[in-house]
Parts: sequence; C-alpha cells; structure tokens
Amino acid sequence: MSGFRATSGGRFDRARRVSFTFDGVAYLGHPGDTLASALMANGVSLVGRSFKYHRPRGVLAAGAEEPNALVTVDRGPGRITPNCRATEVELFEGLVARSQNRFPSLGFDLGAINSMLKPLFPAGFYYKTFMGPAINGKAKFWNRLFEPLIRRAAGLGAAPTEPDPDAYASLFAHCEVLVVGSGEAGLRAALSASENPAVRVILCEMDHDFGGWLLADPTGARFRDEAIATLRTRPNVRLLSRTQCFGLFLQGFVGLVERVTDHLADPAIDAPRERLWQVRAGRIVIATGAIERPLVFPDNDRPGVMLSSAAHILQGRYGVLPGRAIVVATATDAAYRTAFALADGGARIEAILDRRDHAGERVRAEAEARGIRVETGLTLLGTTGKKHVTGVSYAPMQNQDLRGPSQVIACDTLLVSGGFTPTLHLLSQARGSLRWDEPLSAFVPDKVPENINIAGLASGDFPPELRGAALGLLPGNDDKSALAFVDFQNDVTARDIRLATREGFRSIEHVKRYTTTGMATDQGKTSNINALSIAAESLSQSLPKTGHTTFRMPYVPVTFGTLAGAYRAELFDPIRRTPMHDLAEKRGAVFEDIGLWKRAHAFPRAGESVKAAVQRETRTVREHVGIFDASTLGKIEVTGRDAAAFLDRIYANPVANLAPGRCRYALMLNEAGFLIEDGIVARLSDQRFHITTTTGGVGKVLHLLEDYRQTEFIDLDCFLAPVTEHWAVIAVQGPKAREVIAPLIEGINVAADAMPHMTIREGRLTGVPCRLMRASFTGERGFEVNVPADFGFFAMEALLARAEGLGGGLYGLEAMHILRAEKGYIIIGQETDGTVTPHDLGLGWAMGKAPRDFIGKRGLARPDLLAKGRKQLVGLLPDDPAVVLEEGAQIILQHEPSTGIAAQGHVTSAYFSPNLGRGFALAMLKDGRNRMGEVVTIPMPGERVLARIVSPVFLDPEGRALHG
Amino acid sequence: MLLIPCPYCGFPRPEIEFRHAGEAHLMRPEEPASDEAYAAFLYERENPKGIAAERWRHVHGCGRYFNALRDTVSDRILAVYKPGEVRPEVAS
Amino acid sequence: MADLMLTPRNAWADLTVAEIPGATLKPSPTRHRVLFQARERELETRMKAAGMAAPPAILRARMMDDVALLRPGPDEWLIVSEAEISPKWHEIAGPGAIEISHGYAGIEWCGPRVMLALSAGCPLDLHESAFPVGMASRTLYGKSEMLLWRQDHARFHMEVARSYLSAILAFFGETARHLPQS
Ligand SMILES: [Zn+2]
Repeated sequence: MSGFRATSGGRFDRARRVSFTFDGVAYLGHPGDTLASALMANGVSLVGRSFKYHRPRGVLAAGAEEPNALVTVDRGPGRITPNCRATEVELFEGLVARSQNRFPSLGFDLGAINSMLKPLFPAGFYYKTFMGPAINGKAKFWNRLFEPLIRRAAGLGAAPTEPDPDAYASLFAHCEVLVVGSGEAGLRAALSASENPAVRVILCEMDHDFGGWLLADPTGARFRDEAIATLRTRPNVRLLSRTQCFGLFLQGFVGLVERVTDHLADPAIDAPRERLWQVRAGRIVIATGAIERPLVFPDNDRPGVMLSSAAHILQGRYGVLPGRAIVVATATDAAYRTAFALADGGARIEAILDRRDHAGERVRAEAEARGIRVETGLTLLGTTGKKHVTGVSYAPMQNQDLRGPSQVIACDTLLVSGGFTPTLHLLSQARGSLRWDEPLSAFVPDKVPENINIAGLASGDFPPELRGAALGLLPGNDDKSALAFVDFQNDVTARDIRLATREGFRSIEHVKRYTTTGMATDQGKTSNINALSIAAESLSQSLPKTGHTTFRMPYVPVTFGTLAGAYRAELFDPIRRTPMHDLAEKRGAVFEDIGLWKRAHAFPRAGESVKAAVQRETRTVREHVGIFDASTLGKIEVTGRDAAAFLDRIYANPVANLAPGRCRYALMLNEAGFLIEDGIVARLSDQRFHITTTTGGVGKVLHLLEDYRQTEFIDLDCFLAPVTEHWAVIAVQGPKAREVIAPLIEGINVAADAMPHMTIREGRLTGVPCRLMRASFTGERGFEVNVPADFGFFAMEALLARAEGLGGGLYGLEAMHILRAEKGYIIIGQETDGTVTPHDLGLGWAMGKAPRDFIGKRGLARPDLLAKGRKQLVGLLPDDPAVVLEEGAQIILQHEPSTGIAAQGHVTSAYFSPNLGRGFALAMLKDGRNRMGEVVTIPMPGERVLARIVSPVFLDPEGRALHG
Repeated sequence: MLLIPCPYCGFPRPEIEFRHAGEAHLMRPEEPASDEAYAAFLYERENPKGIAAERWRHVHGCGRYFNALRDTVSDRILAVYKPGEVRPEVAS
Repeated sequence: MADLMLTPRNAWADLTVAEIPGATLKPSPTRHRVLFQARERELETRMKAAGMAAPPAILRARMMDDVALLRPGPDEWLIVSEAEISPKWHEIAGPGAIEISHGYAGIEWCGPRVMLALSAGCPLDLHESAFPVGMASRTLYGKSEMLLWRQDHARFHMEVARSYLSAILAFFGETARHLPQS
C-alpha cells in the first residue's frame, strides 16, 4: 500500500483540481501540490530508476535535496527539461512529466540487470575502463563497446534537441541585506533588517511559498503569515519566491535564479521563463536551514523509504500521508514528532525503531501515551519488498555487537532520520570554512566572512529534538551484505567508499572523484556526512581529520538560458553598422562580420555570383574607379603641444618631422619589437594629428596609447580621443578618382601637384566639412573622403553617382583585399601573427635612418630578431594559374618531400586576380628574399601544388599609378 | 565579479568596467641593456601566491590606469594607488 | 554639381524605439559634442575669467548656460549641446579640444520604471543614494559602453557611440518586456 490524501490538513487548494500525466498516465492533483506530493497522493511510489544500477526509487526528500525523483517535464518542442526534482515541480493543469533512466518502462527496466552485474560497476569503474585494452594504440574497446553502452545506460535524462524558444531575463540588483531562505530564521532576519526603511532587503526562497518548515505546522504557519504580511507592507523589501540562490561570490556578489513561468499552465506570451538576479548585497544572511540524513543500511533505497522530515512536510503542507502502516527508524527525537503528526493524520505507526539507547524524555512519554511501540538500542539490517518496501528488519545491539536475533516488522513506509546537517553550501562557496561539531555530529560554520551571517539551523544552533546522529554504515552490516546506499543520486554504496580507501585513496577529494559520491547536480546534499564518516572509519582516522570536500556551485542546476539571458541570436553581441549601411544594403551587398561590424563583402548584381562580383569590382578599380565604405577604419585624433613628440615615440617611423598637411604610413611595434598595428599618421596642423588604425585594432591602439600617455610619457602634454564614429569615410580609388571628387570638393586644390600622394587637406564636400586624405590601399590613385557621420550616407551616394557616370562603381571588402595583395600591402593579423618584424616584411625602410628612440627599438635588436633565416614576405605564383592556394597552407622546399619534413613557411593570403589573370599568394617563408625564382611545394587537400617564389609586389612595382 | 575601488572615481565599481593590464612596476632596463635583462623585462613575471601588484584600467569608466595590490589567494584588493605612487605596505 | 547639398541622416534614421509603460526612450536633441582635457584648477581659472561658475566634480555633470558640461574622468571634460557650441565655450575647451559630435547619440530615458529598465544591463547601483541626480559616468549597458547622466529622479540622459545605438535600443526592447512588476 502507498500514500494517500488525508481528509484534512495542508496548505493547498483543496477545492480545485488540476490534471496532469506521469509516464502517460493521467492523474488529478490540487493547485499548491508538487508533482511529488500529487503522485504520492495518487499512490504512485515508484518514480525513477537509479543512475547506475537502475534500482527502483521513490521520493526520499521534500525539496532541492531530492536525489531520486528526477523527472523530465515536457512543455513541448524545445521546452523539455530533464532532471527536475519532482519535489520542486509545481503542479499545473496539463503538466506532462516522465520518469528517467529506464528502458523500456519504469516498471520493467532492462537496465536493472546492472544490479545483477554489480561487480561490473564498482567504484572507479569509469577510470578503470578508460584504461582498458588498446589495440594498435587505439582504445577500440572504449570507443566501440563501452562508450556507446554507457552513454545509453547512464545519464540523467536527455537534453532537448530543438532550440530553446523561451526568453530569459536578467537584472542587476543591489541591497543592503540579502536573506537566503524564508524559514523562521530567515523571516526574523528580514523583519529586523527591514525595520529601517533605508535598508534595502531582498528575501529569496527557493520554494514556491515562503516559510520553509513553518509551512508544515499550523503554529509555525501563523507566524509565517504574519511575517510575510508585514514584509509586504515595507517598500524597502523585495520578496522573491521560486528563487534559488545558486552561487555566492566575493564581496557580496550573489547569483539568484527566479523561476517565473514554469509553474504556469498558460504563461503570458511575453513572460520570461526564468530571471537571473545578479545581486550585490552589503550583508548576506544565510538562513538555509538543515537537511536530514538518511540511514545507511542494506536496501535502504526502496520506494517507500523516506526521510522523516520529508514525510512531515508532505503531511503538513500537502495533507498527504506517505503510507498507512509506517515504521519510523531514527536517531533523533524529531522523527517522533513526525510519527505523532502522521498518526494524527490517520496513519498507523507500527513502531519507532530508535538507534539510540534512549530517546528524549518528552517524546518518549508522548509515544507511550499514544501507545506507539518503541524499540531502542538497535540497528537496521535491511528492507524487504521489490518495487516498494514491505518490511524492515532490525536487531538489538549492545555496544557494537548484535544482542539478539533479527526481527522483521511489516510496513508500507519506512521513515528514516539519521540526524541533520546544516546547509552550508553557500558559505563554502564564499570561501568560509566549516568545523566538525562532535556533539552535533555535523559540520558547522567556522570562519565566516565578515559580510555574512549564518542564522537558524544553518548555524548549527539546533533545538534538542534535532540533535542525535547515526553516521555511516549501521553496525551489524558489512561489505558482503547487499547494497547500502550512501549517495542515492550517484548510486554510491558504503562498499564503494571502502573500496576506494582500500585502493589507496586517502584524500577525501580523491575518494569523491573516484566513487563519484557528492558529485553532479546533487552535490552531496543528503550523502556527504555519511560518505565522510565511512571514509574516516575505513581510514581509521577521525572525521575532522578526514575533512570535507568543497561544495561547488551551482547549488542546484541552472539552465544555460538563464546564464545567457538576453545575449543570444541578434543580441549576442552588439551589431555595429556604418552610416552607409543602408546604401550598401540597397545595392545588394553581401555582408561579412568583421569584429562587431557588418561590412560589405561584395555587391553582386542580379544573376551574378559573389565570386564574379568580386572579380568585376577588382577590375573596375584598376580600370576606372571604385567607391568603398572605409568608415570602420579606426581613427584617433591626437592633439597638444607634445602630440608630435608623443607619436614619434609610439611609431617605429619618424613622425615628428612630418609637415602639416602630410601623411605617413606608420608601423606600431610592441616592446618586443614585433609589428602589432599599421595605419596612416596625418598631420593636420602643428599640434593636431589624425591617425588611422585597422578596423579591429582601434580598441587595442587606444588602450596602448593611453597606457603610454598616462603612465610612461607623462612628461608629454597631449590628449587623444577616438573619432572613428565621428567621421564616415568613403575611399575613392582608381585612375578616375580625381575626376569623381573634384567637382564636389570646395576649398581644396586637388590637382596632382597641389595635393600629391600622402597628403591631407581640410575643406568641404558640397558644403559639408571634410577631411580629404590622398592615400591608397589599392595601389591606384586614391582619396579617402572623411565627412561627419550624419553626412556619410548622402556623401557616398553623391560620390557613387559621379563614379558610376565614369564607368566606376562600388567595391567590397574582398575586392579591396585582392587589390592590396596585388600590391604586396600587408594586413595586420593576416601577414603578421605577433612574431613578425618590419624587416621580415621588407618594411625596414619605414623606420628611417636617423637615430631616435621608439617603442620596440630595443626589442628589434634582440639576437633572434636579427638572426638569419627568419621568415620573410614573398609572393607565390602557382605553376597552374587556375590554382588558388589555401591560406594557412604550409610551404616545403622539397618537391618530393618525405614524411615528417619541416615546413619552411606558410601562405598568408591567396586570391584569384582578374588583373593578373591567375591565382597568386603572399607568404611568409624562411630566408624568402634569397630564394626568388625557386619553386616550392605546397601540400593541399588531395594534391601537391608547385609554386614559384616571386616579389610580393605583383603590379606596378614602381608605384606609378599612385601618383599623378 | 569583483568590486574594484578606482582611485580616480573614488568608490568601488564592478569588475566588468575594468581591464587588467599586467604586472605593475615593471622597469625597462637602463640602456645599454643586456639581452638577458631585456628578455627578463619582456617576459619574466612574478605571479606570486599572495600579494600581487598589478595594473588595471577603468576602461568603461574614467579611462585611467592605476595600480592595485591584490591577494591572489583571497582575491581581495588590498590597496589601489595611482601610477607613479609608491607601492603601499599592506598585510594580507 | 557643387550646389548639391548633403542632407544629414543622423544615428536614429530608420530606428524604432520600443515602448513600455513607465519607461520612455526618445532621441535627445543634443547634436554637438566636444571633448577636451584640462586640469581642474586650470579650467576653473579659465571659467572664472569667462564669468562662469566652477566646473563640476569628477563624475558629475552640470547645465551651464545652454550647454551641459560633463566630467567623465579626472582631467576629461565633455561639452554636450543642442545648439552649435559657442566661441566662448571653444575658448574654454582650448586648442587641443576634439570634436566628436557625430560619433555619439544621445538618448533620453524618462519614467518611473527607467531605473529598473536600466538595471537589466547596467551593473551600477542606480539608487539615488549611490547614483544621485547630477552624476554622470561611463559604464556598461548590456555589452555596450554608455555615458549615463542622471538628470532627475526618473530622468536619465545616455550618450552612446553611434554604431551601438541600434544594439542598445534592441537590448532595451528585449529586456524591457521582461521586467518584474517593480
Ligand atoms: Zn575610475
């Protein structure tokens, strides 16, 4: 026989009913029920199969500490949540829940055969199997046999395969006092802290209702109701139910997860499923109470075996009795109270079996008055039954020896109470320490961080009735006896822990990992102390010496959705668009992501492939003129009396001698002498510079410039600010570039001799302020038109209209890449990788001859940077002109290379050039400049390509097209 | 998430506003520096278990670089001070 | 050709703003921005000479005449203005000042629920005891940087880099729907 609903009692809505299904069977429950209470009220006691042995399991506990009743809640596609604790799942109309870890069904599980094969699954099974026989160095048995088997057999439910359609919210919150737990201690703490209206208080409770154990008893519930009513009137109090504190960090930083809609049959469309609260609290009160421990004895895991406190809550809150014929096995007086409450509710208490020689005076007297049979000074030897307990066997003890024959009492429910453990996971997470309290047989707070208070049962301040303990494997049982479970969730037995110590594991952390006790989602909530006790006993050392393992966060599993919050899909990272984005879009741009920016890759026309568009755009620039959105280019303005001196120290190039109106291609090195950034330094006036960086490099450059400005070159007076977004930039490149811009420009003489290559002028573009730079990243005559961003769109439109009238058009990023590579212009991060010097790239000329100091100068003089045989920038022409090499491909000097030969370089950029009519590449190759004309081998997928080493400048080596 | 007291802003601010900038008080060796001394300047770091002097920048705040003494065991920031200021004496 | 006038198209072009009860976002009319560096005492002297009040303390902002003067860093000052910045202010900003007008966009946040809405992305304590009226500081909103200035109990001005504006509006649109009741 199993549980049933009593005719009175409880704090649920007795008048209304809701229907739900479990494993496809329909049941009725009430609003206010949990899945566990509703199932038990319906007489369902088998709710899951165990992790390793597939043992039948029932509900053991009443809250987050439930190790057995893990279910999958199915709310439709993408909304399947495995490993929900049935004791925490609130009932709602239409709830669909399924048991886990069983095949084909909960009642008949083939996996239970593992139980018979239990020698196969001793402690350390997985580790031993990992080391199983290997064939030809490959662990074939693992891959082919063990892994698939274990993957099917083990595990805690299955993850959904569809994307999660729910929304997850998150908020930062700040308070003076955060109270975790709303039992009596938590309510008192919140009440007193919030008396001062200037003190912001957050009270969080993982349960759907406030009150903790107060909810199970009518006197307590009255106090609870009054306290909550008072707190609700205080505007400085935030009450959060269904809110789990899962992580406690330094300086009062706390992670809470609030379950917002999982308990609703029909949540609002817009409501988030869960909400992450990132709380910064001045003070934290941990009022998380205590968790009751099971007793460890053979077959202590049968459905029908339940913690005494859980039965008390079941009866007090939900009006459900776990059975009709109940035996209570205990080492505390608290379980007597449970027995009395259940008796009042209509159950028959067959006996109270007390592990101790004497129970407390008051409970003993009441038991006697009620005529309840009490046996003391005994041990438990096992249970009978299959899918449900039918009896319990015990024997009297004298000291550590059996005092008489074993006896069996028939029952349908066995309640156990092995003592209570303060719930201190959060203290442990906050790096507080615990101390073993011998009289209490529990770890209690020792060193508590100054911003934390521990209140109530969590502090170890137990009322007499909660004291008492029966630790470890109960006497009279040994390793040969049947499975005596310690960690129900991970299926770890007393024997496993003893085996681990016999095999040489002495550190409790090692025992934990070897046996898996206290791991996974459970984190040893009900099992830790028993496991430690068994390990200590078996190592013949005291429990405090054995120590305890570290509690890991989260206290309970937290969904990925909650941690991701709003940051997914379109909102994963900010998407940055240039002022001309819409124009590019209108012209059919295909975009690519460059950092956070959307940049136009190419502008395919109707019926044109992206590849063909790139080739056309590349040709257009060389033959006519191209218009390119270069707005994402990093731009920094540097001003001040010492701006020139400052930049002169920053750049490897001399900058101080740059005349106003002139530009210079400049290189930035790190202290080690390696090239980290390039760009153009333009001097607008004596004390004002406009410098450009790569699109991705501007943040890094700003950081670096500020570093030197603030902390090193403090003798220099200069100021700088990012102006990337103030200026929209349109590059106009090609032989007809001047024709495009000339009619639109005012106040600047753009004639070849008045504005030669590498100059900057300020003027106007059709009435709008403009910084016009004569510069080229294509090798063609080029201008970069900077206009304030609000005017970028129409400036580009105007320039494009001009260009199109001259046979030109838009070009995208890919065409730009080809154009610059044809000229051997490098890209930071493509030709460079943080180990390349200007000399390696043939850019040594840029540093000038005059002696001066700059960042990286000393680094460049290090022996390895001066050594012969460094990789140098070269060009490559594949023998077959149709071949385009793979970027990143390795280069080998031998044409018939033997296996294991070392690469001498790698391909850094490779394209098909319409201007060359063939594939070409840039590469970094050892001693490359001395190897001009040699033919090298490049292994590519399925083939070996031969290529000739050439100069990295493929077009116009004299640079004639730039000028004029 | 740590709270870091920025010496310029004057009160503790959330760690995500900051960017770590490596070990503090690294001195470029006097020229002419030996290759060994320069390599040590580039690559050798203290990485202590205990009090580390490190640089931070309040990059999403006042933008300033400053120094902090952090106990790498407890993760507590024991002192913050401006560049150029002497490293304060603290007990961990 | 030179008679063609370019029409401005500001950062808000084509962007839409979500509305929730209790929190309204709208474009700020401020269009002109100048950033400059000055030591406090030096600036105070310059401003006094121009007959103005003392500059604000660090992380504070002040309306002065028709412009707002913000101080996001110890020596860093930002002038934000609806109208063209006057020569007087250019004088005060000095020759090293840098114009950043078009690089940023201003957002006005109004309503009893804006503090809550901001808390979806801002890690700072925005309670008035910690972030009083007149305070202005760079910080984060979601993954975007912002300069947040509290103008009144329930009114904030936010300066954001131009290209982050759409991400910020999108983040507000998504998170504002999911706020708790209070
Ligand atoms: Zn700061």
